[in-house]
Amino acid sequence: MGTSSSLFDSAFLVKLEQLHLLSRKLFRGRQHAERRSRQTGASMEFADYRNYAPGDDLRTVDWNVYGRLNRLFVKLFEAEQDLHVSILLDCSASMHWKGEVAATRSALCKFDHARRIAAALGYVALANLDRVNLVPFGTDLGDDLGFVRGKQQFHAVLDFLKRLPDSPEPARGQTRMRVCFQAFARRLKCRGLVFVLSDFFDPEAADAMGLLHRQQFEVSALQVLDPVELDPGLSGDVRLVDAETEVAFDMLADARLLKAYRAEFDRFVAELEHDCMERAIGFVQTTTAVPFEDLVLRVLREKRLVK
Amino acid sequence: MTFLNPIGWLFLALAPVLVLLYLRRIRRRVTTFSTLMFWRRALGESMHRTWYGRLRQWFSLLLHLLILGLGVLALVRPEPKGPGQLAPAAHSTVLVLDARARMQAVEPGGESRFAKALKLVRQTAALAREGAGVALLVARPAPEVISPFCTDPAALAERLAGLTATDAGGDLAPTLALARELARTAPGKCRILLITDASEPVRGEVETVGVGSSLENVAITRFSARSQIASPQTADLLLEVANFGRSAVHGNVEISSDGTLLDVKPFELGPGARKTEVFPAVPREGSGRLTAHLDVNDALALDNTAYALLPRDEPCRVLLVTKGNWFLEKLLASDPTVHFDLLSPDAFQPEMGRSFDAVIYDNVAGETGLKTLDAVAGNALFIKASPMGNTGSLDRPPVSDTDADSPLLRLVQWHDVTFLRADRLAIPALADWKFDAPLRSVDCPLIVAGRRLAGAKPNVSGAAAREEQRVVVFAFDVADSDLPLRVAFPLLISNTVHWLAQTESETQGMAECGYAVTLAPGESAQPAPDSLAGGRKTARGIGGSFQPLRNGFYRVDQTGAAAESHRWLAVNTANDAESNLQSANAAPPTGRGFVPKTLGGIGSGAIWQWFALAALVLLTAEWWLFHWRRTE
Repeated sequence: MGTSSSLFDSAFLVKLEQLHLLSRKLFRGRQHAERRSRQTGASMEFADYRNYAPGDDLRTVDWNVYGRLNRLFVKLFEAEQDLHVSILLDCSASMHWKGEVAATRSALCKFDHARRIAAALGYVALANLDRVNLVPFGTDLGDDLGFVRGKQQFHAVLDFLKRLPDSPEPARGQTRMRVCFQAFARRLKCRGLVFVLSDFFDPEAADAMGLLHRQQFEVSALQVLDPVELDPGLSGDVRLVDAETEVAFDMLADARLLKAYRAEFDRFVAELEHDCMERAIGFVQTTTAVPFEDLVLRVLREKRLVK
Repeated sequence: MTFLNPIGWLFLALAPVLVLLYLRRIRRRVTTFSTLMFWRRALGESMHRTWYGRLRQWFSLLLHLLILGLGVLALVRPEPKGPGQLAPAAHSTVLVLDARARMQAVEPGGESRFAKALKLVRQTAALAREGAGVALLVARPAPEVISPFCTDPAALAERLAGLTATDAGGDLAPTLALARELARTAPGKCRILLITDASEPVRGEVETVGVGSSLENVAITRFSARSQIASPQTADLLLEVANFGRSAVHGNVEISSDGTLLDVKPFELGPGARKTEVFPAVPREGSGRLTAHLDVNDALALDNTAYALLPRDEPCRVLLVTKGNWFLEKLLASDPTVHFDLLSPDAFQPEMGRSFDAVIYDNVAGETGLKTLDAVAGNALFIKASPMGNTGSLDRPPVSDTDADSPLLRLVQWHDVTFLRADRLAIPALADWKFDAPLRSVDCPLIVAGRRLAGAKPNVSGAAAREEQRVVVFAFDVADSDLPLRVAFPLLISNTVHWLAQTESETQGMAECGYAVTLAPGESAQPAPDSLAGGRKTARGIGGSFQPLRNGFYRVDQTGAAAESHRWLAVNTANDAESNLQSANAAPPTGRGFVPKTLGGIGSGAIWQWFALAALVLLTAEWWLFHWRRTE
């Protein structure tokens, strides 16, 4: 597991800058930080006319119409509203677990990898003048960063991510996504885009994301896995300890059991993806072996999570 | 219960080590995993594996401890026997090892039958223990006790070293009879185990263990030389080759004299066929040692080579004691193979007979004072009057029976011979004499041939073993018949003289391997080093005789007051029973079989092998349960 300082070093920042440039190049011609809303406001987009009322700003009077009709009308513009991007980061013990076999393939645990992805998403959002909030969760919902806006706030995002504990508190219990997401929906008054970065090793994960969807959030699920979880490679007599509950479990790992494990794992992922599809929730699966910039630029684009 | 190898209990010290290793192993490898959700679901498909998984380590430990215990029990060799009390199920064993010539046959695996038999003997000898001794007899022409009952496997193994099969044939019966006698002296139960390749049935309680299979073999069954009267410088060789196999064979037969190749003839034999070849005009040069060799590759090599001697040049020395017999005198004078002296009965002294190869008493037995056969010295032909006496006379006796195989009557035709009268001979019943009557007139013998045995077993062929004395009695006077006018007369006299002198041309100096050959005073025999495999001295002197156990030439040195001289002896197996390998005994032992006994049947008391077998079975089961299944 990497430390926070090395996790967001200068090389990482350079990659983020490249990521920003690449995203701009990919989606050239789009106006950033301009999200149309139903409210009228001070944006440049014309919405309607109404009669002049005393007290209106004279700068909004349409003098051309007055010249033709000899009546005062004021122009109404669509109000520009910032997009609220919430990044829900799973900080449970299972995210801090790293497979021993995969040590040579990836130096990062799932949590570090998710932190990097969260930083990248936050950077892209801040660069687009959106409001970004980071919300850690696990057994319970943690304290969030609070919405920040502007690229200059990126250091606050990084500081928040660095302050997240590198190792979980022992035996805190199993991830409770439903409880956490309910608390998140209650806490957040404004709706917006929600990225959930987790391994989703919770039987109620799909229901929890469905809850957000029903609360008018636009949810995107990003499942971060360790390669060892896909191919455990265990053999012989093993005492397995649950990383979250520390419950031990003795078993004899043979080829038959590994085959059954893989079948169960694939079934779980397939059901999760199916549930997300039914609820119009974007779903992406990745592993710590996939570089995060590839994930952000290629995988998220393919999954239409980034326009 | 006693333990023959109590030091084996020390291996029980491995048990704590085994437990410690298990306790170390039973600490499972602890691995933290992100979630056990999928593992539980996967294991939920077969929950019985969970129970098995919990108990399998302890079950494995139990199995290993059991295997160790069984192994230790096998090592300590428990015996169900109380102190000072013979185990009721223990057996002594008399092993009878067939060491005859046919046991040299090489089996398809490249191992000789004797080597296989020796392995079985060693296995059984290793089971010797207190109360279950093992005795070893070897079946040769004469039985030989290699070891009496012995309970020390090491001592038995030492006595087995250097044991080889001989080139001799023979009968198993004397050895089995001795084995039965030996078995009666054993304490408790005793079994007799015959290890042989022969398929001949064995009577009684003898268990037979077969070590041979049916094999192809070609052999020289006869090889002899005969002098030619018309050409004294040459001889004729007679060779008979037999194919005892089921397929046709062909090859060459090579004839050598003193190591020099004389002739090579091809031969081809069908299954079971015999072929006789005559090699004429072989020069009589050198020492006269002839060797015939078949260049075939068959199962038994020893009968592919045969040995023979050219007939000796020296004529028989014959003394004719007669009051005058013109026919006999003329006949003996004309025979170049006979040198005779004439003597009147008055001048004859009984001890003179020892100086001649044969003495002919022409109706003068009474005048010479020979009343009994014991008084006769040397070999003798009595015509008419003899020490046997007579019980009357026969008038014009017809010839009713002739023994065609008798060497006395070879080529003799009797159909035109008429006797005027003859004596009714009374054959005495003497223990050391053996009499035959090759020519008979109804129930009365006209010719009696007797041999006094030298104490050793006579040669089976009756040719090579030198008996102490031979006697022939004619019941008729040659003058009382027309025999002198017939061709039969010179043939009969010549055959008789040479038989008495034991110088029959075809078997002169020939002996059968394994049987005693009588040596004259002052004679000693040793194998010719250039004719026997390995040059081993296998002739063993037994008093005045020796027993050759290998085929080849033997030099018999004669040392005495006169000048030293020597003669040669050719020894062959020449036995169809030894060469015929078709009827080998390859069947597994029946009844109380050898193999179960060797493995220590429960009845034999050697239960340690059962413990070892159980340990092996458990080890296999443990491997299958805990290793093979894990990697499937």
